[in-house]
Amino acid sequence: MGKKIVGQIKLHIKAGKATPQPPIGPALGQAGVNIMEFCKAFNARTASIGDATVPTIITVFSDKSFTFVTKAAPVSESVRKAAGIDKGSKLPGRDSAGKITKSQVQKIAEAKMADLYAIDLEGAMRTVEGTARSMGIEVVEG
Amino acid sequence: MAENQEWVELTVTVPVAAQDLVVDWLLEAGASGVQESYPGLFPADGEGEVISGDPSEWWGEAPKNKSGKVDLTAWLPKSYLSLENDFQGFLQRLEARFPGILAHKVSIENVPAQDWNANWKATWKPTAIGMRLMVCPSWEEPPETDRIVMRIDPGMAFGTGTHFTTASCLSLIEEIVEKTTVDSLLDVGTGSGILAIGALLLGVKRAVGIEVDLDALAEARENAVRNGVADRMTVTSAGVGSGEGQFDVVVANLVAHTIVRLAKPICQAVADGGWLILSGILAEHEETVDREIQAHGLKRHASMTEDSWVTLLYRP
Repeated sequence: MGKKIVGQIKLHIKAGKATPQPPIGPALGQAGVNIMEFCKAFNARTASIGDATVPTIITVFSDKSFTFVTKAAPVSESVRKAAGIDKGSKLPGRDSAGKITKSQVQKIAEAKMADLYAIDLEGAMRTVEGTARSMGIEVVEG
Repeated sequence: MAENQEWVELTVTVPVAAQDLVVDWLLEAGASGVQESYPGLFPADGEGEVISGDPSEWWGEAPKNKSGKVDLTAWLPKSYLSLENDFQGFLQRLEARFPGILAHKVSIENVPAQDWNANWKATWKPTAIGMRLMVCPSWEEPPETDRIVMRIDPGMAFGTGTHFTTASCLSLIEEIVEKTTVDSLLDVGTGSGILAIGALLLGVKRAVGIEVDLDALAEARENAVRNGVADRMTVTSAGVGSGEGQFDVVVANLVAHTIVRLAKPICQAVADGGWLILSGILAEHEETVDREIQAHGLKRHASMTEDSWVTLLYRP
């Protein structure tokens, strides 16, 4: 029988830049996990990803040991990268922050399918398109 | 970020479908990270409350998140407190797509500076490393031992000796010191100073510790004083290859990506007949690091592995 799980923690953190400060400090500190050990392992595994946010799920066991898995970048970050912009529009619906094509939407939807609560690719694409529009990014044919 | 950094903790409840947009906005606004929470839910095969995370991703069976909502907590440097109005404006713009998103109050609290690792440190006990050293938390009374006791307070810096990457470097330094006289050692990314201080306690005559994190730099200096080796140890934030010369032993317990990036100055710092110890490398990155170091003219001498970690030893 495996070790007992005492908690699971999901954080959105920058690849290769984990430090003992928030959010890792308070999240893992309250679970009694050695924060520095997590930072070392996380940075070792994600340093080569570059400037990206990594959704990370940390499972903590009763002996204070842990494992973690990293997931694909959030849809909004993928949309911004596909549009070639740093930030979404401050006034979505009025100002356009940029454009992405339908084929880019499909690629993002395929990559994030498992995380999107969608029953099929079309549903996942609609979610990606909705995210893009909420950020003031126009979806165009192509 | 400094250990005495004060933070603002912003918590908001949003529909799960909106969380991606809200997380993105918070990170763009300067949050150091965001935590997802689904309060009150428990894993079916665990024994405690789940702190956070998507129930569908839990290990084993887990109850459904019937509320369809998620709590998001973001931490921002205190200087960002003024962004509350901007955040409310952002939520208002999402209202059309996610009706009711404004129904939940946005909570903002100050978080005082603290040692987040305190809970774990309370469980850290003296640890024997190699054949001759014992690392002892500075606040603990060392046990009766014929080993050389190294007193360390890591603060928020890397290096307690409990991790294989640190322990294996110290063991290799001990082996090298047993074989030959070591006049000088360079520790790239010294953290708490544990490797350089350990080397000095084992008989190395002088050591230089390089550290870019200024908090860690201060911890390393204090630990050097604590162990009576401050007069033989230099701690600097100058980058490797800034004219510190060559050393009998160079040790770099970093991550593979950084080792590859710094490979040239690290290899150049190894004196003829010297030793290079590299650690913090995941097994999946070993080949990349090995290729890079050998391309700079050093030959692989030995390696140590534990779990998914690798420590490598090279010589010119």
